[in-house]
Amino acid sequence: MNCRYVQSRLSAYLDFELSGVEQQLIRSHLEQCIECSEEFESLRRTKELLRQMPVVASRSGPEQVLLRVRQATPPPRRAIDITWRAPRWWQFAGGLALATAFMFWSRFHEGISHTQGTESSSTTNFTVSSPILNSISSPELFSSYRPNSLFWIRRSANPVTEPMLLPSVSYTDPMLGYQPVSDWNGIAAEPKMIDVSR
Amino acid sequence: MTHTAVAYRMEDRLQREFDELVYRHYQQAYNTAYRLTGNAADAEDLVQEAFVRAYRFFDRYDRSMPFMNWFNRILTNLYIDEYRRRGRLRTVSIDETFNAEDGEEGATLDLPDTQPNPLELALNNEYLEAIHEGLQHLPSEFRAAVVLADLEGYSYEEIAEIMGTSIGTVRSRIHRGRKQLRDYIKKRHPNLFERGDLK
Repeated sequence: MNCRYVQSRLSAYLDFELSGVEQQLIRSHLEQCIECSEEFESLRRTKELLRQMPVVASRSGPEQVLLRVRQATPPPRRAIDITWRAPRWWQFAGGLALATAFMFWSRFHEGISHTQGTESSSTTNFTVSSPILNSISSPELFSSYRPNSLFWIRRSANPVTEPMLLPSVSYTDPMLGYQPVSDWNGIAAEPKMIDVSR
Repeated sequence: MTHTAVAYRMEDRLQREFDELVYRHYQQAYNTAYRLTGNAADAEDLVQEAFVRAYRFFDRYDRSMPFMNWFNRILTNLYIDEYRRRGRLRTVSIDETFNAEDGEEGATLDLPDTQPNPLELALNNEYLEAIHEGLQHLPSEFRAAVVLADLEGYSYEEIAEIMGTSIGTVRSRIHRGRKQLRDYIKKRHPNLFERGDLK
């Protein structure tokens, strides 16, 4: 522990911001070294002087601040936007529903995939319960076209140019007090209010 | 009650919460700003700007941390960014006469009423002025670190969070800031550092 190291840590030592061991090492060094202890003493004085600085009061009160706050800024977005979150158990229920759906789906397809599978391997009594597992185990099935597998809803050939499947009305949060802004360029400071009770 | 009314009531509630925070912390915030900027006019500007900013981002305020920690982060960053851009801060001596805009020749800069309590009278105004001026001579990062540590009493960890730096940086800023300040005061009033002068 040399003087240079000690002197670089004196402020931290003064503020009790060092580890216990370091704090003790520096203390024992300060007891021996005159130069370092003088340096420490002057820094301690400086801190003491700073701590005795009086609190200054301002001429204008917080009213001035509030006035400027009102003038300068629109209220924070969150103030109007009441966010409603689904309860936590909904997520579990959703997951459970998905799992159940997958189970039924795979059950439903089991017969098909089984009949397809047994043609090639009839000697084994190993049955695959899911068509996905089946397709992984047999690459020729995986690569083949299976139109009725996942998509119960008909997919259009070009979903972008075919707007039939897209909702025509954007979803409006019933808890929201105003209509969602469709034109962000021409947004006014005041949100357009609609009467929800009607 | 319509949902519109609910929304307005929420807005009112937030506004009232913010107003309360402003009333409660304005004095402390102003004091910090005054020590940072060094004069009343700039301090008022800084505090107002910081509160405006705080209000704008009030929805991001995490209620689990003290408001002043969050607010001081805004204030300090605003100060370091804005005032560094302006270049070196003009420092005004308190008893120096200056020309006011309205032609009032020889007016002295009137400082806000400090009202020191009897304990603080141990240090006379001359010394206080020297310390205050010494603070103004520090680089803005050092000054912010020293003010937060010694005037506001934050820990190094909190300062690191407020200033967005590492604890090591905070430590060195405080150390170097204090050393520069000590040298400045020592040059003006060496008797303050003589043995047994203070207490």
